[in-house]
Parts: sequence; C-alpha cells; structure tokens
Amino acid sequence: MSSTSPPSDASSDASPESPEPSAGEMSADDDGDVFGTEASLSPKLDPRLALGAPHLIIVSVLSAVFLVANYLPLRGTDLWLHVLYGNWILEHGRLPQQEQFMPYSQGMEFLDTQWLSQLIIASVNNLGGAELLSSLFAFCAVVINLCLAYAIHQRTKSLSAAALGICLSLIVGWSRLGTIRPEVFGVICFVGLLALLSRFRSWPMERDDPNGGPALGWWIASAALFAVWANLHGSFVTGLILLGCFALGDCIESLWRNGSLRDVLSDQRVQRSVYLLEFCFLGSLLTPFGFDLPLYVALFSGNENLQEVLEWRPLVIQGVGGRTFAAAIVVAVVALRQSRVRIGVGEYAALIVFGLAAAYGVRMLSWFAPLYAWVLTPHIVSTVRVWTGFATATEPTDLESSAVATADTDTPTEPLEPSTSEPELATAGPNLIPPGRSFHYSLACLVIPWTAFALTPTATPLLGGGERTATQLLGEATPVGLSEHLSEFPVDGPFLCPQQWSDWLIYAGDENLQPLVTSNIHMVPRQVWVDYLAMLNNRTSWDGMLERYRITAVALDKASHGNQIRRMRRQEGWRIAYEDAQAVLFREAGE
Amino acid sequence: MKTPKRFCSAKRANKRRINELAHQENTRRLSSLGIDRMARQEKVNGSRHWAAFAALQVVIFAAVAGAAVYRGGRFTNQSTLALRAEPIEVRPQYDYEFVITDEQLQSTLRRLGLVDRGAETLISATDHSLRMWGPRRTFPYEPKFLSGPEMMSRLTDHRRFAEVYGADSSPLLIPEETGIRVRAIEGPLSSSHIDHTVACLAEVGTPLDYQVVTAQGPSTFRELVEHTIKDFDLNQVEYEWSALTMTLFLPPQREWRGSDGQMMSFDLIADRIMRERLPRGVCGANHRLHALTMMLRVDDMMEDEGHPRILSSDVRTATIEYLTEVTRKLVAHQHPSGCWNMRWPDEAPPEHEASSEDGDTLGDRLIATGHALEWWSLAPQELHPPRGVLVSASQWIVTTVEGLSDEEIQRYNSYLSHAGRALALWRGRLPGEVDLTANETSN
Repeated sequence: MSSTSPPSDASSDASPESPEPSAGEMSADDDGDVFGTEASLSPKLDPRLALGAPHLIIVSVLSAVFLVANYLPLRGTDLWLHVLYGNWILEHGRLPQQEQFMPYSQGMEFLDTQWLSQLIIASVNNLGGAELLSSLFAFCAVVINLCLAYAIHQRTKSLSAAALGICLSLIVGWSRLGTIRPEVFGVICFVGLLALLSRFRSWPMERDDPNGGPALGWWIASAALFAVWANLHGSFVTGLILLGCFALGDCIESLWRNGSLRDVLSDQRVQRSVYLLEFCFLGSLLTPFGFDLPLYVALFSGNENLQEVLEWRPLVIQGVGGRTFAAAIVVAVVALRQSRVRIGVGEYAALIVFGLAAAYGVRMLSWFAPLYAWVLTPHIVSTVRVWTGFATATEPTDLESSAVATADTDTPTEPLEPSTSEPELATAGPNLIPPGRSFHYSLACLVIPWTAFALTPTATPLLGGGERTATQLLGEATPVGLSEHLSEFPVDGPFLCPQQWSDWLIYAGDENLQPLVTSNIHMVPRQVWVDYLAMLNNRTSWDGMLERYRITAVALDKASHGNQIRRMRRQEGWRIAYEDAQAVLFREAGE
Repeated sequence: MKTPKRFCSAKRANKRRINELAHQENTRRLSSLGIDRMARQEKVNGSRHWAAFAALQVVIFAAVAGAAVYRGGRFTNQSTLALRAEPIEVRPQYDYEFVITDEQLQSTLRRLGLVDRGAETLISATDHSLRMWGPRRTFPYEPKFLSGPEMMSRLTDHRRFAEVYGADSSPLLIPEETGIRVRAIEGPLSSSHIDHTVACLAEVGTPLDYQVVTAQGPSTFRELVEHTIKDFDLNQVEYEWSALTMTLFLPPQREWRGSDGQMMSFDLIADRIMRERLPRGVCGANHRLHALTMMLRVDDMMEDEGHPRILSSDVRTATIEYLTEVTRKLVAHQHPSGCWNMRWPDEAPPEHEASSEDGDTLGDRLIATGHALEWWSLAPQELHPPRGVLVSASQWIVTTVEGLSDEEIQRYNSYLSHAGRALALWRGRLPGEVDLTANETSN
C-alpha cells in the first residue's frame, strides 16, 4: 500500500553514486547559492524526518477529525450532568454517595463510576468554559484515532493500513462521533488496550529467550491502564471482555493443536493470556469502589429504564449507524473469506461478541468500530492485494501465518507493504531519503494540521476570531432561553421537563432545580421513569401524575410535545410563565 | 453462459493439487523455521507449571465468585428481611368515657357485623370486617354475621374461598417470584386496594407462620408479607397499606431494599406519605394519616423496647408537624353536627344533612368522620383535637348508626368498620374485646 511513485523532489535527485554533502559539510557560501538557478538543493534535516504519502493520509484524516469534532455542538447528552458532578466533587472533596439532582432517587444504589472523567471535564470547563470543553473532545477524538493508527501499524507494520484502519473506524462508528461525554475517555483506553495488545501478543514465547516475554513494565502498564480506565468510565468491562475473548481463543487454539487439557494448561501462550486478563482485572479493582465496581457495571446494562433509551436499543438497519454497521458486516465476511492472512480464534470471538453487542445496543458501536478496524484492516488489505494481483509468493499463506502466529503472533510478521522504516533507513545511509518519502510530505504534514487548527475555534484565543454563538456552541436543541429564565425565576419543588434538558437547566439555569429525571436514567426508580414517559408521551392523566410527584412547574419542547402543551394550556391551576420559539414553561397558578 | 461441467471438475482437481503442494511446501518451510521444535520446547517448559497454573485459576475463580455473591446483594433486592415472627400490636392507649359510653358502644357495635351473603360477600367488606372484629370474634346473638375464623378462612385458604365463591373464580392468592400476591382492584372478588388485605391481617395479629393455602398448595403468611415488601415501590399509586404492613413487621430493622434495589427506610416512606396534597389518597387521605400515626406509635415502642427509633428526629418532627396541621384543619372544618366530608382539608360540610354531591354523601361523611376518629384514637395525645371535637364526632356516628336501617348498615359496612373500631379504641379496647352479649342479656 505504499506510494510506488514518489513525487519529484530534492530527495529524488539524491543518488548513492553522487552523495550530497552532509549538513555539517555545507558552508555559508552554499547557503548563498540556494537561490541561484544552478544550485541543487540538499536537505539539512535528518532524512528520518522525511515522510511519505501514508503519513500524509493519516495526518490529513486526523486533522479532518480535529476540525470536524471542534465544530460539533455540545448537544444535550449527559455532558452537563458530569460537569455538575465534577463540580460537586471539587466542592466537597469527596465522592457523592447518592444521586444529587433528582428528588425521587433517594436510596437508589449509586456508584459514581465516572468520577475521574467528571473531575477532568469540570476542571476543563471551569478553566475555559464550553469552548475549552469542545476543544478537549476534539483533542480526544484525535487521540483515539492516533492510538488506533498506532495499534494497527503495530500489527501490520504498514502506515497505509493504519490510515485505512482509522478511516474504517470512523465510517463504522461515525454515529458516535458526536458523543461528547466520559465515554470518549473510555474509548481512548480501549484503543490504548488495542495498542498494548498489538505489542503484548507479539512477544516471543520462549522463556529462555533473553528477549522473550513481555517485561514487567508491560504487565504494570496493562494493569495501570485498567486502573485509570476503571476510574474514568465503566466501559473498562469491555476491555476485560476483549481480553477474555483472546484468552478463550488461545485456549481453543491450544486445545485444537495439542488435544489435551493438560497441554492447554501448560501452554505458555494460554497462561499469558489468562494472566493478562487477571492482572488487568486486578488493576480495575483499584478504584474507590473496589470489587463493587465490576458488579455494578455488570448489572448496569440490565437496567430496565435503559431499554427505552435510543442508544441502548438494538441497531436498526434504517436507524442511526445501522446501514454502516450492515455494510461493515458484509465487508468483514468478504474480507475474512478472501484474506490470506490468518485470523485467530480470539479475534473471531472478539469480533462476534462486540458485533452482537453493537447489534443489541447502538452505544456499543463506540467500541465495535475501533475493534473492527483493528481486526479487519489486515484482512481487507490482503483481500485488496489478492484482487489486484499484488499478492506474491512471499506473502504468508494461511498455513504458514497460522504456524507463525502459533508461536509468536496473531497476524503475519511480514509487513503488508514494503517497509520504509528504521532498518531500511539505517541501511540507506545517513543522508539518503528512502523511496516514497519526501520533505514535501513532511511539509504538508505540518501545514495541514496547522491549517486545520487555525480553522477551529480552539485557535481563537491564539489567532483571534469571533466567538461562536450559543446555538453554534451548544446546538439548537439546548434550551438556552429557558435556562436564562430559570436562573432569574427559580422553581421551588419538583420539576418536569424533557430529560435531555434537565442537566443543562440545572447547570445553566437553577442549581437547585429538581427535575423528575436527569440523564442518570439508571438511577431513576422504575415507577418514576414509567410515569415520566407516560406524561411526556401523553399516555396518562396529567392531573394525578403531577400531583403524585408534587410537580410545581412543567417545561415542554414545542418541537415534540405539541399535544402536551395544548393539554397544559387547558389545565386548571396552571399558567404560562415563559415561552419562546423552543420551549414553554408552565407553573402552578399559586407559584 | 453456462460453464461446462467437465471444466468445473478439472478446476476442482487442480485446486486440490495446488492445496496439496502448498501443504507440502508449508510443512517444509515450517521445519526450516524451527516452529515444531519451538512448540516441543514450549511443552517441556510449560509442563512443570500446568498444575500450579490450574490450581491458581481455581483459587482465583473461587475468590471472584465468592466476592460476587457476597457483594452482589447490595445491588439487588435480595437483601435479607429480618421480619418479626408476629406483627407489632399497637394497643389503644386512652379510655375516654366522654367520647362514648359503654352502653352506646355496645349498642352501636352490635349492629356492625357483616352479614354473610355467600358468593355475594365482597372481599373488601370481608377484610374490613376482619380488621374490625379480629380473627376470634363470634356473634352468637346473630348467626348471619360472619365470624372471625370464617373471615380468616376465606381470605387465607383457597379451598374455602373456592367453596364460597366457586371453583371457577379467579383465586385471591397468587404465588409469584417474590412471594404471594393478593389480587387487588380486579372486581368484587379481589381486595379493594393494594396490600389492603395483607395489612388487615397484620393489624389483627396474624403471625408469619400462619398457614395460608393457595391454589398451588399450602404456604405461610410470610410469603404475603415478603411480597408486599419486595414488590413495594415508593412511587406506586396506593402505598398506605404497604407502609402499614412494613411498619408492623420490619422494626427494629430500619432499612431494607425494595424493588429496583432501592434502599428503603421509614423516613423515606413517611416523606412519601406526606408528599401529596390533602385530601389525595384513598378515603380522603385518611389512610395516609393512619399509617403516619402507626409509624409514630411504633417509633415510640421501639424506643421503649431499647431499640433505635425507626424515624430520624427530623422526619419524626416533620411528621408531628404535619399531623398537627391536619388536626388544625379538621378542627376548623368540622360541621356543628360533628361530621366531616371528603373536602375536609378545605371546608366544612355545607348542610346538616348529607347531599348527593360527590364528596358529601352519607358514605363520604361516614368515611371522613370514622377515619379521623380512628387515627386520633391511636395518635400521641399532642395530636388530639379539643375534647369537644371528639365528643361531637363520636356522637354524630352513634346517632347516625342508630338512624340507619340494617340494609344501610350492610351497604356502608366497610366505612362503618372504621367508625366502630374508632369508638372501641377510644374506650381502650379493640372491637373484638368488647362484650356484646351484656346488652342482649339486659334486653
């Protein structure tokens, strides 16, 4: 996948027969000749800084991701609730023991599984407001894709494959790109794990080998990753599941190869996979909640309330992310059928488990997408090579790569593209730029990110420019006008509004607001959630419900609650206290 | 265009041959790479450790499974319920002759038995009557009245229930995962309110090991109580009788898990009971007031027994303030005749005679007046109204009952069960403890 026709540039003139003077040999006079028409330019920079087309593709994709992510509005996910919890932790110097913002969630078992993310988010918000939050998430999007590129490169030794991989991940998981919440920290850890696995699973197996087996540092790094991850976000369980898939895969492969349980238990590869899983599990216990955290997270997805939330519903082909997921599955089937690269049982298992999870809940696309890219990219590259006739006799066949993988790695050790990495650079001589690389690419790799950066709101404090409007920054769905009204005229008592608005209205409106339901949907008692849905979906008598929860104010979205608004206008004892193009606020007549 | 068959088979043969050659080539290359030697070496190295590895995995698995079981209860509603073997008996604590005389009490109560109408007898009337009279009361002077044992039998033994109401009738007791549910609000052969029957059985002192027979077989009353507690949701529509059942069976346990794994406490329940505006709730909110009164009484009893109180001091204070305010409203809105109607928090009954208006019928007045007298009779003295209020209310009931025909008494029997119980409680007795034969002898 490398560039086979390097552009004409200074480096292309350099040949072994006529070596250019090195940087140290160039005189001041030489510098004066640079502008002469007869002068031949020679690089002063280290040739290792000359980059190639794959670098440019990766940098361009990452720049595009940064640019796009910067302009994504901080729409009404649970972002503002995390800011509120982060501020609560900062204010009290301890973790909350119970839900803080819903009046009827007392006694619900509460573990603040995202406390570290909340601290980060709240601190960033306190430092630079919503604009800095937006920049933080754009930066996170870049880190995710950069880690993924590294992980894929570790497996394939191919920058082109890495570029293809991050594109695949972005396409499959595009519907999750706008998700700005602690989940992104979880995804960073997930791709970090993929990167770690790419290295971890390529170590030789021989114990006597001085280079064999991962060093202690790698084990500690794995556990540390999970320790941090478990404090950032509950998705660390996905990491454990991934490791479990690999451990299971290694067991099955070993059993297939050796035929007896004893041999499986003796298999160092099996032992290493299992120990890694256990080590990482131990790491995940290093939280303020200890063993309760994995239990809590394991039970979390079974919460009945979540089944009514879009991101926890099964994928629908016509729905969010459905088409790309279906296309991804088709591509996977074709690639795995055609690929000449071996796939391990663990990878198969992971792909199936995460694929099923994504099909079962839209949210799981966040983890499926990078995993899909990590597993499938080598196979897609191989398939393309088979189709285009680039597959050569030197490319490992199924059997060989299988055997090699049995001993060393999951995927072929031979690169998928002609390598232009360190060994070649070393043999090419100190001043020679390898084929396919050029300082033009290097320059472009600097200019493109800078341009992207300059075009983003992140650059505004540095380069100047106007601030974004509230709508541009927060999205059209955020009830900015209503929050301003509530900050001036607070509501005393329980308050009914769409759950998507609650967090923002507490954050920007009235800090003592008591919405019936916030984004902590799993913390809402079942009956409250059922009644909330019945009210907002106009399925029940409002009189009884409003009284049962002693609701003293009701805010409704004109775009989606037209019937309810008409009903409230007729409701005795209620008056309109605020109205704009987006929202209507009703208060009890006595309020 | 169709491919010739012969060509296809030749293609398959070629493919097989290619695969064989590839296999031979790969085997040769594997040997040259030393892979088989590596695998053998790996086996030798690993064999020394397989047993230790297996043992370690067993230990780790056992530790994780044990910890999961040990800590898992925190996140489910499977917490242990330390139920009392017998419900707490909240005894009457006043004997106020000025409220009602012995003669008035006898003559009034004698008429309040529930006539057995066979399959026409409502379950809601049966459990109300059982609550009033208790499980041992008999009526030798009036055989048509349902005795305590018969009422117990119909409510707790499906065999008797089927005899009275027919084998085809939907059973009253339904075994479920969390215990036995009493069918409610599903017609005349079901309980009139959620957990009403269970609360009635608890109030008359039914122990946990009391045998209950469902259509599926024998069980115990514990199953009904556990279902009430485990199925309880703080925001369910009717919660008064569930709260009462828990108040009588759970103390001194102060916290437990309800449905959703929500940690429950008597503080939360008291807050819930006081949440809605008056007179929302069944019977003009009076069951809310009764449940709060019972919680206050049990709270005191726990302290007397040397246990921690079931209410925090803040919630206890809030409860007393709440009931004090209720008393103030009742005093302010009592009709000069002594009665209230269902609009008692806001206004007094407009006329001396009951009307046909919703909330002001005779039944409504009997409910409002009887219930108010009942919870006051159990409440701490500081919550009592002036004596004149009590006297006029009790005398209104006595006079009204005197004026009712037997048929009307049967029609209002459930409402009157509260009034009759209240009258007995003001004389320091339960209705089941009042001697009803003396009047007959003197007559």
